[in-house]
Amino acid sequence: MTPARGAAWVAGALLLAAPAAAQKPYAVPESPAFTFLNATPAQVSRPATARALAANVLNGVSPLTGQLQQGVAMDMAPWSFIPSVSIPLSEYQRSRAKYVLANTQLSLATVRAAADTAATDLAVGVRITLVDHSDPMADTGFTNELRRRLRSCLPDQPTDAAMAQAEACNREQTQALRRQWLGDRGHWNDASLAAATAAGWRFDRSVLGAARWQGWAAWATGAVPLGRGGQAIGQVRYNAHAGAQDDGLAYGGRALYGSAAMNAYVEVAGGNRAGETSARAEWTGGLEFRAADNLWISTGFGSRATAAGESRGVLVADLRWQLADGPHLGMGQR
Amino acid sequence: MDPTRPLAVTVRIDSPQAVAYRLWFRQPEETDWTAFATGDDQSPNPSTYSVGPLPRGSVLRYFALISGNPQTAYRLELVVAQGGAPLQPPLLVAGTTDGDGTASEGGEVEP
Repeated sequence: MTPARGAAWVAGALLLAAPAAAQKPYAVPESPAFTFLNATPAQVSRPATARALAANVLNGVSPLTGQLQQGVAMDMAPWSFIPSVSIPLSEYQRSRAKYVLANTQLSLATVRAAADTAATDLAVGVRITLVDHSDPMADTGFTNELRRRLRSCLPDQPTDAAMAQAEACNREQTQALRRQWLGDRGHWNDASLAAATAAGWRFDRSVLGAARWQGWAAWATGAVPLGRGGQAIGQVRYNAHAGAQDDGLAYGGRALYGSAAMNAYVEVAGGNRAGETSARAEWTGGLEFRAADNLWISTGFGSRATAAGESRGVLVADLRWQLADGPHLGMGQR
Repeated sequence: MDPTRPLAVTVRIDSPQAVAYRLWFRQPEETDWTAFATGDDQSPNPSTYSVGPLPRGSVLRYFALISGNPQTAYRLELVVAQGGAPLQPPLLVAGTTDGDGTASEGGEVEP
């Protein structure tokens, strides 16, 4: 940016509340199939055995007409369907392959097609966590203490009241220890690397044999710590929906440094998408303050591309929901 | 079940959570349960516990606390055997932890 343009940029700074989505980095979704369909299902079934999976799949098809049912949402760990596969905690902590297998999630969803209420859109997705040093279950120190607390919660007599009390004790102890491990012991910003992909089909008249390819999408996210109080996050998304405006490559980066109550951040987002007039990156920098549990006030300034492809300054005032157990947003939720 | 021979209860944990469990028995006419084993995921896997001999009509009970990452699949297996032979098919206990990463499982087995 030249000095003249910089001056013009400052002079032209707009006072507007920038929508968070405009600068939001493209996090790897927990359930890529739901994200691909832009669906937020109210109820997600999580079958943990092959029998439960078969029942869910059968429920997804009408027994009378053989048509796909709309509104199916499933999230599952494929290893759990194979009786011969066992991943006890000791192996989860020792074997990288078993760690990755345990953290591989499949998702499947169906929704009513936007333009044709008789048609059904179906997507399947897979999410893989390759590395996550902010996973407390991979730390033997954490799990040794958790195990000790669980044993202390066990009831002497298996009465309904005693078991309910034990369940409450388990929840309380787990929450407290996890919060302590992530926050006080400084693990919230540890390194992580995850990737996901999803693909979709449209079934005309919801008939199983009438599938049309709808495209695919992929995401990758990596994070590394910046000292004890900071984190840098890089995120990439590629969309190849059939003809959608946001098709193409999008990336986001975010660096932050601070405490559990306040942090300074810089974000950059850009890409090369079909529906955009400019491939120029947009950026935002500022401060975030914790307003309440899981709610942050974000303020700062940055640049946005206008419809004509020019950069304009913006002032950011925003509320953000925290998705993770540390002073960072949108990453590493466990 | 042969009331003159002890039973062997085997617990196997197949999933990556911290688990603590306790096993009890209750003989007919009794009201209180008697704990005969307490274990966790750091016990030998599988772990086998001996109980009895128990009179006919006795009941075994298990209760497990599970804690791991949120929305993760868990799987435990219980086998009750006598003289090396299972008395019934293995009891598969499976599910998904809740949003806090916790779950509990409990139930009875009549050998």
